[in-house]
Amino acid sequence: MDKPKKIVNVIVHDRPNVLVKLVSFFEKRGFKIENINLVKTEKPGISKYIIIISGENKNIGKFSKQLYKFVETIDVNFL
Amino acid sequence: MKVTGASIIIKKLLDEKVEYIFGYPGGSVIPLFDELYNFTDKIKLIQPRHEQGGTHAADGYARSTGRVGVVVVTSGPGATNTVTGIATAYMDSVPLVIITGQVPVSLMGSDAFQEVDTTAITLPITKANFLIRNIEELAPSLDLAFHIAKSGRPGPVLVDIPSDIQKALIDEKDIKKGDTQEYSVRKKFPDKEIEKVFKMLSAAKKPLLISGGGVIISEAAELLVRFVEKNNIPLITTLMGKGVYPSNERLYFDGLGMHGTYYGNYAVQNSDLILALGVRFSDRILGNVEKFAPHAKIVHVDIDRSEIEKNVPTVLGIEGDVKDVLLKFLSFPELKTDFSDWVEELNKVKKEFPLKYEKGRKLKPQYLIELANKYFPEDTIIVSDVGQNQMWTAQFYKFKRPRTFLTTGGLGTMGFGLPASIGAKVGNPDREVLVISGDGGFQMNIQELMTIRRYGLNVKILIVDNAYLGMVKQWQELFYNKRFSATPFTDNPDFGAIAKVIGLKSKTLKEWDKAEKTIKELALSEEPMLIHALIDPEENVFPMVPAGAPLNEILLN
Ligand SMILES: Cc1ncc(C[n+]2csc(CCOP(=O)(O)OP(=O)(O)O)c2C)c(N)n1
Repeated sequence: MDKPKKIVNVIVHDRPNVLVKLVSFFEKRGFKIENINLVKTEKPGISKYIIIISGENKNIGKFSKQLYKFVETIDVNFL
Repeated sequence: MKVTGASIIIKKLLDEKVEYIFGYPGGSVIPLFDELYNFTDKIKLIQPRHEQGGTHAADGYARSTGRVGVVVVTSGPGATNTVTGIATAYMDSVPLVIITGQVPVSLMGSDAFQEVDTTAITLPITKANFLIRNIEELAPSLDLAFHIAKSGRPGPVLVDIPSDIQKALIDEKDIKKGDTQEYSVRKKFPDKEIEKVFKMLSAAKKPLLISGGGVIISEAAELLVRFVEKNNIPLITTLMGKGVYPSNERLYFDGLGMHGTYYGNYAVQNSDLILALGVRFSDRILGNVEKFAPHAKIVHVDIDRSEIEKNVPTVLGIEGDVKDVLLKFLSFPELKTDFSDWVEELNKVKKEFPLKYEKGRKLKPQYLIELANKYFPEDTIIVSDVGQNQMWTAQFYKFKRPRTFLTTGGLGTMGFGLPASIGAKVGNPDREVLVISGDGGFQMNIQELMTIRRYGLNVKILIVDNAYLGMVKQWQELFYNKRFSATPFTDNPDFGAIAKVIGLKSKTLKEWDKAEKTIKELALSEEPMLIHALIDPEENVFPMVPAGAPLNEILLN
């Protein structure tokens, strides 16, 4: 059976290593990253990561708030 | 006119009014130290004997003054030696700017001599870090580094600067500023949320205020005390929150958690409304999360949105600077609800289950700390190390002012105390600084005794030597059948003799009867002094809530 998947959108200041931070953020909390996409926004220096994750953890809503710990994070939403 | 990268760095330090840097040289920062040589009248170098010591010293400076601590070290081993210090500062939200040298840009990635990937290593333990790849990026990155370190929830920021960039030239008119605005977006909490808090407070019978490190950082201690006194609300503090103290002692119930007080934990477990300000609900204060504060609604105020709902469920989370929130709280009229029965109840519990220890026979660490409390002035900065010494200090010293207790709460770094006391003294030359350390932790950065001597810093040192790695031994005693694996330290050196060789005054203390005179002498000494106290090795820290147990399942001895 496929594990449940979630999509997390993270809007960030595009700085070096943001991707690394995001990847380790989810792996540390027991999620697997299925897919990750970087999209430029109309504002220079600001990008959007679209991340598809899977995992048993039901607390994704709670965790996504913790993405605000990164100074680069501007906005987070998940579907 | 053309200027060098090194001079841009120094100019930034001058603009930020940095008076001290904690630095240690090496191949990749020679250009920077060379430039610094022109400014020794404005920026003083405090040179530790080890970069870890230097980083903790900068941390002690920052915690005690509220200003940014600045560290400068070389690439490779210089940078890796700062890692423990950076992680320590990160966990406790201490503003540092660490400038590391790096191999020249052209050699990066070639496993050059003393090359390590410093920004990768420090990525998870800094608020942000910067690798400078060309001279144009240098000035804006430094602007951002200082801004990020001290704004919002403070923390360490690292700037990695290759040696050729320190020497590179740039036309002054091409120097740009960093866009600090980008990182300054802060939401304004709605007044409605504050009204909700007051509604809940008026309906509560047993409210409790938990004050954390955020209250100290945001310089809101006085406001908080005014708020609890105005409304007669009991107050407890976390380890990082010590120093917030009401003039009405009847409202104060010390600490909570694993080594909090019985009555502090009782307050949490019986409260019906908890206002938690600037705390992060670490596992050390929660015990069993499911059974934490079972009767209470929790209102959590923090500047860092990611803390809210992270570890405990709340009925209301307010994202904001606790100082702003408290100002709003204070603009409300005094509550009509009377909490005096609750305050009475807590004072009864406090009287029945006080902190205690056996007096008059063996030399006890708690007694030494009480004596220090008696003989050192109220504005003394107390620095602890980690382990039992830290918990005894937290329990038995009465911290009455913010920024008077420097301790590594989040990382629990042995070896923090001695170097941090150096930074505290550098930043507060007119105040007493006393470091209380265990024998194990003291030996982790013992080389910094040399720094105390070199700069003639009047730091007072109290080593409570129990010939064990005491805190670990305590766990072995209670939970591992007294199998003291790797914890006896019966071969400790004579610390007093070491101090003397280095040129510092010292005394050894063994007996209860001599304690008072010795601690008094320590407090009055006009030069640095070390006391090596041989304490009862069997003494443990109580009360204790075993890890993962609810706060009401507390061992009293
Ligand atoms: C750098 C580091 N290594 C190991 C530990 C684990 N640890 C925590 S407390 C402790 C014992 C500390 O012993 P000592 O410094 O003698 O202080 P005491 O507990 O006896 O007061 C140890 C080993 C730690 N906190 N930090």
